[in-house]
Amino acid sequence: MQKNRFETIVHQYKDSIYSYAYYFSGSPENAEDLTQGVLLKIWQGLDRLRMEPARSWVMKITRNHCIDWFRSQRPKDRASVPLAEQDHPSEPGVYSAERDVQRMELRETILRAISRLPEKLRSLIILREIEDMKYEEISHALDMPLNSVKASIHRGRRLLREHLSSLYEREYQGR
Amino acid sequence: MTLPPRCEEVHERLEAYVDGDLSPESAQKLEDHIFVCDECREHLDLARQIAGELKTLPAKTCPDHVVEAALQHAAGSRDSFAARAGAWLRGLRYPLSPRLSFGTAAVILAVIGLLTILPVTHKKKDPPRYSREEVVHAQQVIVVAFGYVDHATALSQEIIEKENVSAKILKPIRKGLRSANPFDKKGDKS
Repeated sequence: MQKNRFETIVHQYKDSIYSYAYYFSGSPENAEDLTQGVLLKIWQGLDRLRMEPARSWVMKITRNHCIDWFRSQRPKDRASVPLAEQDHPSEPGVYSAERDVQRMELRETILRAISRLPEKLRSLIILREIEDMKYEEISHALDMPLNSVKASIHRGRRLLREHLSSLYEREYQGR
Repeated sequence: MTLPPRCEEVHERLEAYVDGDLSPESAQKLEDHIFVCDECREHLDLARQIAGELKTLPAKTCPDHVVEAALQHAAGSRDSFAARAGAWLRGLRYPLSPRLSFGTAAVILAVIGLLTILPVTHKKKDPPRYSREEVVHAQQVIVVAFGYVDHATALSQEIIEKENVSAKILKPIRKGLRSANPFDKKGDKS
């Protein structure tokens, strides 16, 4: 019975967990290890699932596991977290080649910038923007006031913008 | 580069503006500023670009071997005791079959009976409060006390018979009582 529930949850949320871990850690290898760890925790804590919605519960475990992992890393490893986008094929026929390249560059820059955000803001950005969770859902999952969730997500995006803006400024001055 | 206060305020609110989370008044003020400030307009464009790009970041697909490893782990594990107990309890829903009801009731009654009887049959004896020496000493004191009462009674009887109580009679009585009393340390002093 437990095993059937576990199997259902694994198949339903494996990609969400893996995506979160991927964008949080910045590498497929780390994402695989983190996903394994999260699935193990889900299996161990399956009895508590009836108390809250499955998605909130799963993403809360994922977020906590990733933050614990990040904090256990040595500072020099944290700084060198790689975030190479190898498997993002461009959308054919929509953009001109030049715009496509620009967009890919922007996306890569954003991804690198995400991996350098403070871990709490990073978590919120991933949950909202990549996992497409509603503010209310995040608030419930992380036990945070709704306004704090919104303000933190805006702050995270503002940090991304300031980072990109300073990069562009440096690039402009370098020419 | 230090921004003038107005621009800083706008910069802080750009993401909320892009998400439509500002009040109509605040949004209008921000738009008024954007209209005249090139730098803030560039920042607004960038905020929109970032919001757009974040929405299009692709979800990743979990490799099969990760899922298989997790499912194998679960298959090789026994369910936890809590899980098995929970499953058993959930199975005990009304209506039960008469035989199962009788069996369950018998088991419950047997457990309750055992829990009630066990404390009686296994009642621990209290440890002795006094040592053997203390008990023997107490017995001796009681014997002396009875002897004292007996002696006093005999003397009283004698006094009553004579009806004429004088100091000459009382003095030796007191002396006798004192000598009979094992707790009177004054002894024969009078």
